[in-house]
Amino acid sequence: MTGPAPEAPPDEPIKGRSLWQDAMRRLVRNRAAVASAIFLVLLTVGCIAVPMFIDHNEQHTNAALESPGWSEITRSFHPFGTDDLGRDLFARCFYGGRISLMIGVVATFISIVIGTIYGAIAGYMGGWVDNVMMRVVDILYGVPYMLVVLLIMAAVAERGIVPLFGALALFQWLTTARIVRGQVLTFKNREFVQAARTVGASGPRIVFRHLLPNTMGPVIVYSTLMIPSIILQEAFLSYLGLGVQDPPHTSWGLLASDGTRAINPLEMYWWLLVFPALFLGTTLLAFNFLGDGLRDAFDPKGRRA
Amino acid sequence: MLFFILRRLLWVPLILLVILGITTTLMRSAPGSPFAAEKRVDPQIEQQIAKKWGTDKSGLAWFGEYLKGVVKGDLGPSFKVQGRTVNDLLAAAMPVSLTLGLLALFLALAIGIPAGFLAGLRQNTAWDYGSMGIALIGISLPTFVIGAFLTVWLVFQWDVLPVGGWGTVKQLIMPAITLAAPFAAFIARLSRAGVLEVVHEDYIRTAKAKGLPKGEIVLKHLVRGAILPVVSYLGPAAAAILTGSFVVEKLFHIPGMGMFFVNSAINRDYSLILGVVIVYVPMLVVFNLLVDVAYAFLDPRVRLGK
Amino acid sequence: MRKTLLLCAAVSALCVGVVALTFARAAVEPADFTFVNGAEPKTLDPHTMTGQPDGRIALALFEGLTYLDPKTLLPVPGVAERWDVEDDGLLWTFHLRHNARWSNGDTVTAKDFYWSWKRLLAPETASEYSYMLWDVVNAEKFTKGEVKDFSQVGIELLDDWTIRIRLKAYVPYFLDLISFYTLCPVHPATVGKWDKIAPGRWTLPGNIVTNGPFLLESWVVNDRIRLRKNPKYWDADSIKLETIDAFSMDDATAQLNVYLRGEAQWNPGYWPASLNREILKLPDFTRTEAFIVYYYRINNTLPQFKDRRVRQALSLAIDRTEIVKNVLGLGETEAFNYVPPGVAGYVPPEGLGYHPDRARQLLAEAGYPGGKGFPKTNILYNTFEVHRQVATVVARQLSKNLGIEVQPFNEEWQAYQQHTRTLEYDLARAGWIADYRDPITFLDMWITDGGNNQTGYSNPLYDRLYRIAKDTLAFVAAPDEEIYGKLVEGGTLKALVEATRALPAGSPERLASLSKVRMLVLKEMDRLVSEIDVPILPVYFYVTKTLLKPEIGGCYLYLDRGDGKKIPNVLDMHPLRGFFRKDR
Repeated sequence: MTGPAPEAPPDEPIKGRSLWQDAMRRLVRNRAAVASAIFLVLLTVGCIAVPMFIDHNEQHTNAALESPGWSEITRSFHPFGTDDLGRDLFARCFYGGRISLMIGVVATFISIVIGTIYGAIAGYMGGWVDNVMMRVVDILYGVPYMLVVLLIMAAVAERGIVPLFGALALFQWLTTARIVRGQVLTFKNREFVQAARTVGASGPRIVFRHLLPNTMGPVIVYSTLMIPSIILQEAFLSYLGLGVQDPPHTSWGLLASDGTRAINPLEMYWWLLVFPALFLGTTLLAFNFLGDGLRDAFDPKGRRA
Repeated sequence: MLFFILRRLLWVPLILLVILGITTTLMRSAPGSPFAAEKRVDPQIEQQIAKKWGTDKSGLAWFGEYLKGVVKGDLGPSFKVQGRTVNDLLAAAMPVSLTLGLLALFLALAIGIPAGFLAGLRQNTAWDYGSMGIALIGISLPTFVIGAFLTVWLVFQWDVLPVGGWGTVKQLIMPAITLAAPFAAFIARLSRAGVLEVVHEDYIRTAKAKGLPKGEIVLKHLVRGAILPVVSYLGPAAAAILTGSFVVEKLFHIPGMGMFFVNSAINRDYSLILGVVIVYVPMLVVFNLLVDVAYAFLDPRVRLGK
Repeated sequence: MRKTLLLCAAVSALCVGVVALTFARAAVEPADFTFVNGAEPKTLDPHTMTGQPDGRIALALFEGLTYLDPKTLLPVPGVAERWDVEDDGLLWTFHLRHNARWSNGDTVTAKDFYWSWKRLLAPETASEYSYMLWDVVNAEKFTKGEVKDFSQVGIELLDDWTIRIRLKAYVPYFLDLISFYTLCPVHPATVGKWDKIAPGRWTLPGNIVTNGPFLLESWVVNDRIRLRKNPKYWDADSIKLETIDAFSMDDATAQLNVYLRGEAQWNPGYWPASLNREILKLPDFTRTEAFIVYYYRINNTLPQFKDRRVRQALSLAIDRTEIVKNVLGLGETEAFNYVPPGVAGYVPPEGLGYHPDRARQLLAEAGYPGGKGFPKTNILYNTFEVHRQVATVVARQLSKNLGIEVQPFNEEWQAYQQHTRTLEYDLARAGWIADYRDPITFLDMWITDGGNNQTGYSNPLYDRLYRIAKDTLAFVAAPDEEIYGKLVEGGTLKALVEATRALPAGSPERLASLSKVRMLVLKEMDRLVSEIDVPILPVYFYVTKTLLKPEIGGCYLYLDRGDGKKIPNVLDMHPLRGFFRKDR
């Protein structure tokens, strides 16, 4: 499974301004990416704050499935309507966001850490170590990923958020490992690494101080794109009934998959599907825009464009 | 070249063995059994059932027996669809998934590549933003949401398509679109990126400078270079799309392989899980291999076998 | 470049080719009648099947000695033309008709039944429902390997057309059992031939040989089963439909939509529960009471649940009315006792009712005033929309009413199964569907170490009552006087027993009086479960619900037993042989 040869690295270490400053400057110029970043920050704040004020688990079974608006029964305003147990969908969407975002970010973080370390070791050691480690990655790539996640989620006794992190991160680090290895391979023999080696820096020090910082650009771009994909996978697990425990928790995927049950020619409880889908969609959209923006910013070819 | 292909194919049995081992271990450690039922049966009868189906053996012994069968081409009986072997089930479901998958793949390419090219060639215009916006929606929504919206519009509002089932061409349209949507979106984005990359390459500039007409430039050089990212994506994508999608098959009541991926795991139908793995893994390897071979043809810089 | 184009062309050609090829062969014309059959049947072997979808098909393919008339659900002659009952209901002799045929032309004989029942009871068949025949002398022992010689089992082949059965004790519902799919015959030669290759192989289309009103024409997994009228069936004239399609599908939304779009004409209750109140408004919706109870198991082995006052408190603190009205809303009824209503002669105990104050008081007496110090409690349920809703609401009610911490806890089916069996739960959702129309099908669960008990509950008094209910005749013959003092209605029971003893043996009055004794004993058992010991928390009784297009007839939710009164079809049985089209 050889991909294309790693591209020639950018020529940034020689330049006066750092790669990072450069990239940030370019990122700020990308309106879509900036808007996305602002949106994501606001959304995160909302997902943390809103559930503090409205209880997403408060039931009013006599006010179930009310369309958005004022409810005479609960004597309160439900901007997104209520669900099958009379719970406020507005609060649930924000609480669901909390869980979805957390799963996306934490699982991404775990897999980035594992992937980076793995890739760095493989790339730095080279030779047969590299060969074996990369063969393992190749084999894992062949694993029907969802099948294994399903089995893991079924096998764990206490299904909670933590096993979900693990199961979702389990195969995501593979690509990170490849990216980092590729980067490390190209930097390994550069002057600044050789200089460090001559000075007598230890292996780990070279990897962590000199090599890894230079691989971070692609990794950050990749992780921005990994978050939405993990959120989507969580949604799929929720659709199978193997997501987070509801109640007390919920997630966008779970809300949306519950919402699909409302799709029928009799009576469309459209709000059950539309609002969670809207949250899920716009957030993923924003992550993708941001990821694209970051990629353009870190991509030296963009400068020529 | 031939040596390269052979070497890669020789890897398949080993990869398969490892993955089958992992799957068996996981499956055996998951709680429950393929024969669990709401009404509990007498323990003696439970033992007899396990004996009848061979699940009373230890994990390793069972796996050994299973592998013996696999070598002979016998994937064992299904526990949940009794009377059928896994061979029967896969033989019946694979044509369905392949048909739907090929159609979806075709749709994804037919929509994705032109959209991506258009966006790439007219970078930062309404064309670009429009097609990329739609593409992003395609990757930003779960399949089950896309399927639900399609059902609302095409079935309930416009009343043009049946709600599901398998057997007529009409019944094929909605599932194919749903299945194709995320792939089309991904392909559109990849081909746009590919176009942008190539547009700034020296050889395109040279071609432009030589004063070749624009259409020819696009066709001759651009397509070849820009399609590369799409090609490398096609390997895993084709394996995934052709082995069926659980969500699409469930939503539209289609008797394909995707159902087996999930149901066999949920039902602990051990032999069916492994059967699915046995189909999927070689397919993935072969498609990735095809991709690499295609690469060698498309990109003069890449040579196989190092 | 040219290569790329060529590749594209080749791929598209392949696509179109495959599609065309598949559909040229696969197109099927719609059947006379199509219905949603729920999950994919596990098997079509009547001896090893257990599920409702499997059973619907089995009763169309096979026919036992008797079958249940779709209109009345009373047993009527099937392969047996007539039968004699002797010896106080212990000895049954069935005389077979001579014109019953297997689908391959062979005659259905008593030998086939003898062979089939031997197969059903044989340990290696591993039939989960073999207990349907365990009322027969030595049948249970044969299944458990304690009796090796089948000739010791109370099944006797008199000649090709006569078979005789000897029972251990009088079973009032024996003909219902005989009509059940588990006791249908299978074709010995066919089963013998294919079972050597793989279990159940003989049931595939092309292999299978049947004797019922329909033939198995095709069976596509996860798609449909097609049945076609059996022209060789002895009563073929009474069968109105030529073809039937049974859809195998398990997505609730899809199940509803195929019905609403007219692609299926019958949907026996498969739809998302959240749409109940919309479905209720449809003119083609009907419902009746069902013989099904929804309840929660309490893990009686946990220290906090060992005290029966705690268990009573839990039961008293559940507002069942909110659940049936606001959450379910299809006319389900609150379950304050365990046996659903609908058995003639059975008067259920009152149960505890909903009294949160009394509940708090009991909890305080048990040492948890205001719920303080009570361990965190999980309600285990398997993944399903209704289970989640009910568990969520009950958790809130218990928390609020008792001041204890209760959380719903979801597991997928397999893990849930395992954990209820190994008693690794606090409260666990459960349901029980009657096999036949008698309270014992519910109450036999709670005997000590009963296979379906799974709560750790054990009360010698309950076990004693169970034995009385199983053989009331023996009890009346030699009553055990001390038991009366232990029962709430002990005095009434004593008087009934005395009255029965005074009646002449074998007289109909005596049989009726025996039945009254038995029903009262069953009521006392129910009382122990739902009022006194409370090892479980009954929540609600189901309804049978159906969507049926007006052009289809033959699906009876109310049964006409000829006395002018319509009684509900509580077993939710709608034999396919009764269906017909009103418009053709």
